[in-house]
Amino acid sequence: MKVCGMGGPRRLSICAMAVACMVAPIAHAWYGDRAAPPGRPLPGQAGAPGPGFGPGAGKPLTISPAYGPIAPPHPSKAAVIELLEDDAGRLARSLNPGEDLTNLGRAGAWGDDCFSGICSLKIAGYQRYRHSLPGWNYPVVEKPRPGEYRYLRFAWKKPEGRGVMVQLGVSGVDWGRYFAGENVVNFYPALQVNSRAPREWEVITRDLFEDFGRVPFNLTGFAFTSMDGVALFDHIYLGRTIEDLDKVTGAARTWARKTESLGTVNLEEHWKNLASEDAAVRQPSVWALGACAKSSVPFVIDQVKVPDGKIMERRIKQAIADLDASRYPVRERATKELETIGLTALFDLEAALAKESVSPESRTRLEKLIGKAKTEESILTEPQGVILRAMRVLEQAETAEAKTLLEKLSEAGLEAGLSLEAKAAAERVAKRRR
Amino acid sequence: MSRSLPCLVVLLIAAVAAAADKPPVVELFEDDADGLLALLTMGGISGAEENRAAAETEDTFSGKVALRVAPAQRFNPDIKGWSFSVAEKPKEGEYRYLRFAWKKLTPGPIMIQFCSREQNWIHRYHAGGSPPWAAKEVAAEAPNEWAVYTCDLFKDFGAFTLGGIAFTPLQGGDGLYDHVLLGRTVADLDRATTAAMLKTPRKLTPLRLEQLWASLGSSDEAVATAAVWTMAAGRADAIPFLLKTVKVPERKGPPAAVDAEAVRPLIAGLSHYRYLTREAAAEELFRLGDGALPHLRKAAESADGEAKARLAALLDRWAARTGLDELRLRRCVTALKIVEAPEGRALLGKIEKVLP
Repeated sequence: MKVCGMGGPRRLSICAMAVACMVAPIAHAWYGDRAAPPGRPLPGQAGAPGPGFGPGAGKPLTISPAYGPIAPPHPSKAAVIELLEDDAGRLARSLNPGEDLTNLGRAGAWGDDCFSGICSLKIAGYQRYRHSLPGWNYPVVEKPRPGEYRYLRFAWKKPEGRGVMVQLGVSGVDWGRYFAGENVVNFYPALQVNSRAPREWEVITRDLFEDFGRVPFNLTGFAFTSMDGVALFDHIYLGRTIEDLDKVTGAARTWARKTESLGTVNLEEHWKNLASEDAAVRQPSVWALGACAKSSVPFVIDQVKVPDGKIMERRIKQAIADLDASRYPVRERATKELETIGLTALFDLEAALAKESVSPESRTRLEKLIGKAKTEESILTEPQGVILRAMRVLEQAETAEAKTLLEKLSEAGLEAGLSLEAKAAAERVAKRRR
Repeated sequence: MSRSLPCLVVLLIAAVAAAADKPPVVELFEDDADGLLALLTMGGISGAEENRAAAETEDTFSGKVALRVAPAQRFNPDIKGWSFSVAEKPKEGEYRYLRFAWKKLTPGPIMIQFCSREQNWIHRYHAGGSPPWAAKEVAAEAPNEWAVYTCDLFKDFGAFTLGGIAFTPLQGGDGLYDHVLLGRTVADLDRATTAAMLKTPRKLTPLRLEQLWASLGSSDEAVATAAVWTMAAGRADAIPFLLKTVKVPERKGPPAAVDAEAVRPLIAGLSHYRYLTREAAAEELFRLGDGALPHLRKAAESADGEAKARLAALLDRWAARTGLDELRLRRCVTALKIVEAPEGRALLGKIEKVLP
């Protein structure tokens, strides 16, 4: 004290600094960087890996940069891309096209149990997949700009059996895998996201960039691996951020419990949104319209013009006849016409091929058209997309009027297999109304 | 007088410095991930492996940064400046209680270990799986939500001097760690956690609030505690949400009867083909309260197949939830008390009135 008091203000500040320096480091400040000397004990016993270090268990795929360049941003610049919600039938038809399915399993839309919307994808057997699905080339990057993505959300259910898996087609070359329960199929590397198979619907959200080695890649395809028995998949979205994905899932939850009367302005706004490629815009509107049937169904009936099915019948008949026309341009035009009509013409194409009188020229063209209709799902135009969403609204609404319109659409011969979608929807509604 | 003043100032500074030297709570990790990672020089089971670890800024429990560590572990048995005595009756500069938050990003075990100055790593807490080394289990499953634990180090391991730490997600996915504190008393830790949470407000989305609401009713105390603190940190969103969401039950007399007509569509909703609709119907039935129970029991008797199984599951959940609802209200009280927001006072009073 005496020493401190003798030197005046300057000495005082020196003393204060000395005292401060003597204060031992508080833990949030770290000093030095020392490794333990040799022979020091380690946390745990050296060389004793914990249980469960299976062949790749818990170790995700590390993507090789050699898998090729990253795709440009998706032209829609959508914040959220729908990979699967209600179009399970269309997706199922796109999996393993033209392959022998004996050892794979069946896939289809399942209306008896889904997470959200109106149906799920049911896989019964082993698995169904496609490495590069038409139109799929979504860039997965660390810092997504509009049209680029990072997060995946999906819902799955495994009512019985030991495990379930989804696999992501990586740049058309490799697979990135997530599984729950046991990895019965022994596909590795794979990341376990739950130790138990989900007996009830479970939502999984994953950071694709983080999970697969922090390397950008293109998501090009998907595999639905039921492993043993039946598995259900639904609500699969790709998002730029988790908040964007939450907008979709939040809307699904909201409209699963709520109904209200929608005014004209709301109805028009929702209807406009049905054309959006951004699932964060479109899906909330699909679900809002579906939940508010009282006001939305009359509005949808007004918007949807049902074409005369006979006109399509005549178009198909004429085009099939023109496949055997004497002039090459006519045959070509007829082939293109039938390609545009797509799956809707399948029944007539097969009937024409079965005829004994079919010419070699027609046979060749018919066989190609049938093969294409069976294996390639038509890419929908914007108006066709709106009609498809309107069907989802009607199916969710489940009113007698909605069912009637679906039945009319199923008879209308809509292109690109949309009448078949309407038929499937009408059948599901009829079953639910019983 | 003029000569003694500087001496008094110096004494005061020394006293302040001495107090700072022996704080009631020591922060082993809060936000300085880079600083700590520089000291965690050893990795993997052998200690000589490269082991990824990084600052996590997107998903934190408190403050702005958490620590993200890949399996198997990052550690240092001998951190310079770390020499914290764990004692039964801690004097100034000694500690007894540990608080930490962690979550596991994908299933698998998770562990935190502390090394004594005598180089003994026997002080371990773990959750999930069978740990490869003796450790005190804090939960049967590693949480995939932030969970906060307050542990009595002395009771669990006796007196020792803590000199090192290991963040050990072991296997599976990465482990996140945050808010690792030593405290003389639990009350000291509570004050420190409150200060940390109120210092860094956070935005809570509607979906996040729904998750936190579910966590408030969790049977896992650690998850519920984390939800309480997170709501305190996100008070600007949490208070309006609680005002809107909390339904304070009436405690007088038997439950109010619920009209059978109101219940019928909800019971039908339990068998809906859409899971979200089933869940919404179950939630709505819970909201109607115990008055809906006789209708549910009757429906369960007459149902068959999947509908019967779903009704039975709901009745089980109902029984479990009755207890958890009270717990949830108690946790709401804790959150409201931490925040001390004037707009929450009326709700606080209302809840406290009905809690036994």
